[in-house]
Amino acid sequence: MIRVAIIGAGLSGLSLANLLGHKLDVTLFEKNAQCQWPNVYTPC
Amino acid sequence: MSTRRAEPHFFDHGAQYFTARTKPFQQFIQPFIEDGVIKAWPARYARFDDDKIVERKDWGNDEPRYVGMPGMNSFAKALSKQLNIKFNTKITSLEKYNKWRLKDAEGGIHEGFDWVVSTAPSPQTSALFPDFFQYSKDIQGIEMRACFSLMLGFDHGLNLNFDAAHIYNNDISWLAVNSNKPGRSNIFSLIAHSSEEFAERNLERDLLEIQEHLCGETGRIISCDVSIATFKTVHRWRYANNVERKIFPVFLDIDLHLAACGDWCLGGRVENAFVSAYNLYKKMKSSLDIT
Repeated sequence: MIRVAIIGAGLSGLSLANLLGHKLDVTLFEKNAQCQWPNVYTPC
Repeated sequence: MSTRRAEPHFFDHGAQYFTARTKPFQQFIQPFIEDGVIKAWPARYARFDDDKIVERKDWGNDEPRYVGMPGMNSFAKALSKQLNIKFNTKITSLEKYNKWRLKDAEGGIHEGFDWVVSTAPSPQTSALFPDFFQYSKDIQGIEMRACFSLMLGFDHGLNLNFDAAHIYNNDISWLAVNSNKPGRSNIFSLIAHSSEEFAERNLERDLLEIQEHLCGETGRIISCDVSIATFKTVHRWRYANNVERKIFPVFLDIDLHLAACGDWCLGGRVENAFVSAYNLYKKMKSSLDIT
């Protein structure tokens, strides 16, 4: 099985792992994501 | 999506809420809405010009703004179930032999990976990835700005006529009564975010001075002395927002087996953290011929 390392376990990393999870062997590394939020409040 | 516990107070000091405007994200979050992990926040919204309210809205009658239940981190926690996560492991370098070998800050080695995907903010991804990564220059060019998050906990409620507010022309850009979000403890807690400009100008300034200044501005906006708060602290987010709201293609280097995604690839916003991952997933799926 293809092994994938995902660096950062914010929403992107977690989403990608959930999408790939049952197809590939995924490992997430949690400490890197110095969380890029709170940009959600940016008016758009 | 972060939640700070300072019992009896709780603060969502990162993402405040999120919208779901794309079909894939709407479909992705639907099971979590059904399970009660995510709920719409029918906030009384106000827009301020400095300390004057210039617009009001009832988010209950508007596009849904979602929050995690009972904290913003609940969504991330739910997503992390059944995943293989190495906690407190900061990857500091990558090395390619026939596969990828990752080294962490404690000297630990993690090897045997066919692919590496970085979802860390652009400056961190840039520092980790080799210069010959196909999109190295693009990622180096994505600058990010900081933000300070002020958390204030009170013994008793303040009489405010809004739950959530964007502030313009002030060093504060956002104010919210965290305890008025659905599913929170009713112990009054207030959160304020600095403007990006203020954060950039004061990035390395002493955090107590930052706290004092933001408390003063918050008090002026809501016409209330917030120095009576029984809990006060400030958090610095070094990589909070993109400088430019630019949209990039998927950063997937087929030859190197390296990729990157994150909200910063699509100009910011929580939803784009998912969309960026979703776009990468689709491209990886076709490249790797997985169904």
